[in-house]
Amino acid sequence: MSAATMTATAERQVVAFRLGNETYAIDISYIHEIIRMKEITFVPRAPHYMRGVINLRGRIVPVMSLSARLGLPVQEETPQSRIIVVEVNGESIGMIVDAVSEVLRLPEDHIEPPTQMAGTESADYISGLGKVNDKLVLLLDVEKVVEQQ
Amino acid sequence: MMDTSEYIALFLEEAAEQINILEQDILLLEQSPSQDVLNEIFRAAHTLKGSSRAMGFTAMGELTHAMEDVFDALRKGEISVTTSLVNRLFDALDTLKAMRDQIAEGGTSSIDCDELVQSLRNALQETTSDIPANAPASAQQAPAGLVLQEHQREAALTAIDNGLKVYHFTVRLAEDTLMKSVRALMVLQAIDANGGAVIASHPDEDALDNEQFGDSFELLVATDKPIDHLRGVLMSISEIREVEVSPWQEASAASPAQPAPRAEQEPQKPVDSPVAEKTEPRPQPAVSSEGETEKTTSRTPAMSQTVRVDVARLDTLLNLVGELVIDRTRIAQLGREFEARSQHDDLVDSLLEAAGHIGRITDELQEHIMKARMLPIEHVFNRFPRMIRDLAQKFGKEVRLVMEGQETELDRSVIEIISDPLIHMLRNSVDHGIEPPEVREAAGKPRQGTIRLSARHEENYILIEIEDDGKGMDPAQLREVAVRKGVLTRDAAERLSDREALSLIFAPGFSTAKEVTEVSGRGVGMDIVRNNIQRVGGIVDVESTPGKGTRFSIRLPLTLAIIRALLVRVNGQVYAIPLSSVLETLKIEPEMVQFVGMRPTIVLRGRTLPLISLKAHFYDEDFSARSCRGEEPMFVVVVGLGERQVGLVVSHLIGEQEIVIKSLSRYLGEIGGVSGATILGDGRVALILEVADLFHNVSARAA
Repeated sequence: MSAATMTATAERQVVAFRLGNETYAIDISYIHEIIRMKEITFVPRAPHYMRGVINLRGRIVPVMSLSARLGLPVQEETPQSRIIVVEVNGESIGMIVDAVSEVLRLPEDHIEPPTQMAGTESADYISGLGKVNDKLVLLLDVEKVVEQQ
Repeated sequence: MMDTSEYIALFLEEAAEQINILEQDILLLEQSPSQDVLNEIFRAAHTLKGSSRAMGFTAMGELTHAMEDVFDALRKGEISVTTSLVNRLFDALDTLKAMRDQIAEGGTSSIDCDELVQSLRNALQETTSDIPANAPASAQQAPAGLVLQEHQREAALTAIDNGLKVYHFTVRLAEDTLMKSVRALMVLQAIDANGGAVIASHPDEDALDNEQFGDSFELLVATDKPIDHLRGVLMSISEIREVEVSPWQEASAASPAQPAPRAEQEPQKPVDSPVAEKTEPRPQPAVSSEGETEKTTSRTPAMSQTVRVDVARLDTLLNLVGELVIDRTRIAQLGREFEARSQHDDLVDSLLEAAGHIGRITDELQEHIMKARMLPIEHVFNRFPRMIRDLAQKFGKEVRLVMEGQETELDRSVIEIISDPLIHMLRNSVDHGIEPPEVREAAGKPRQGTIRLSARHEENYILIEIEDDGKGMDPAQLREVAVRKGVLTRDAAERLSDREALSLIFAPGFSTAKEVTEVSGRGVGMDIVRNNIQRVGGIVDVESTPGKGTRFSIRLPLTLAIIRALLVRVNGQVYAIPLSSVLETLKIEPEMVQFVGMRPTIVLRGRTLPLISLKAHFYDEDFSARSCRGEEPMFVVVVGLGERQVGLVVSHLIGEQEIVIKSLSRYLGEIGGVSGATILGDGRVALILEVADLFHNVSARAA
């Protein structure tokens, strides 16, 4: 094992974004693209957190409100709102977030297990807590988030 | 050992093809053994043996070898066709299929076939005693080392009678040729592909395959093509040193003069064969006259003009074209918008012109890719003769299957879905439709029942019909059964027309068989059949006359990927309703809506039509007597499903359009009443309604 691979495994690249006042992050390997809000076609009788589907260059991609999914208060749409399109198990799905802030490198030893989150509604979907410059970043377990209840 | 992994897909596909040929030909063999069939069947077995051995599937090779020996003995007239032999061959074939499927799944096959091989070998022993008198070939000395057997000599003479020329080829290979068998194979294929038919070879094809020959081999070839051309083609194969050609002449045409098998030359039309019959001759390659010589070449020339393409690749192409179709509509729309904004602008004119051109090309592209995905329905029909034979045997019935229009093409996705329903309906026909021979005789019908299976194009649909001359169905009896099984109340049953009563067989939980038989009663009823057909936008209908027979007709769309749809607006959002289920559209005043219990209905031409408000259905909006008052006129789309009709209430009608169907992500879950989505010309997404689902909804609420 060379030193280069050592550092690569010891560090995680994530995209950080805002939901309300909190900062969340998704492992960059899941992220397909990040787009501005666009017209969403409502799909009746879908799970409550699903906002509908969008036309992503000829592909039809479902879009969820991540806040609604995590049981957080849903914020109004602003010019900063974005749709993060992730690909999980070969299928794309979009997640509406309030703003995308930055790409972060999180050293593994700065990530803690989400024990202190226990009891909150979103705890099930958090895989870890990261600390960057005294800021707390909640790492999302994307696969759990997209899986239907 | 070479790495076989990349060849395995090819092997599996070829094996399936050869097994198919074997199946058809064994059936033909039982009905009307002819030299043509025997030659073809022998070739198929031979090819399969070779490829399975090459891939290291020894057991499969062993079994095909045993089959090949049987065919060879049949071909030489050493044994004759008996029902028990055919049954044994079918057993072997089924085992081959199972082996192939195992290999397809897990890469190896663990099926033991020693017993079968032994049984086939025994078949050879059993019948060798009664060799037909004409069999032992009075071997004829052709020029040089080529020795003709009786059937080969016969074939050569037949070819000459049919106006073909027969030549004797001596092919010499370069001295240090490495893979002689490959060169030999290339020569044989080149002859096939260029309108020639190999009648005999020295050494025989087995030996050529196994490289058991020196630097040259000899062939007897029948052709109607200029011989210089053929010779040129052969010479162009690398490592072929020399091709010597001389016309072949019957050495002593008088001696065993015109022996018996002459009759085989008559065109074999199995008109009243016991089990199956093909009214359409198989497509013949574009080689001159009919006759034995061409039959042997019938597959290869077509192959050389085609390539195998992965289905996934075709799907991708179709998807891409789908996107192009969407963009085409979008560009045309933009062009029109620009035109409206700025009159007489040259740039706009150019844009519109280019848009028009792209439109035409896209249409054509779409059409060709759709065609590339089409397969003849033969792929489904192929297995039916065998199936009907087995079923008839099992039930002690005599059944003739007549198939028409096997060449009718439809999209492969439709083919996949239609196969099971057809199997089920044919089983029903044999089991419940056709009466036992004695019963038929007593009723003044021929002992043998007929099932007619046909396919043909009709406008934008494929029409498949299954018709039997069996005992038919009695509407009165169907009503009775439906009431007894609690499918309907007696009142409701009495109100049904005879035609509606017949449709009862499609109702869930309905089966007319007195007891569940192994064949027809596997838990899948006609309701599943109808569901499957409706799922792909098809329609199934039944007509029957007691004592005379029953006819099922199935209408299927040519493709599932692109359909015509009626676009409507509901609650500000656009929905697409497949045109195949739309019967008519109406504009109604709110006062016309009556509420029967909680259910809104209108009276249309004297019949009550239940209504479903899509707004109420999808958006949980109130649709009641109160909410209708004082509303604007409403639009109703009448959709039909079999005999049933329902009116969908929408806010606006937009118009008809061709749409590309896309599936909804599984992350959305099952959405009742929606089958997929499509992208409109303006880039927005419209959901496609699943009409069958909406009907379920009506019946569920009615119950």
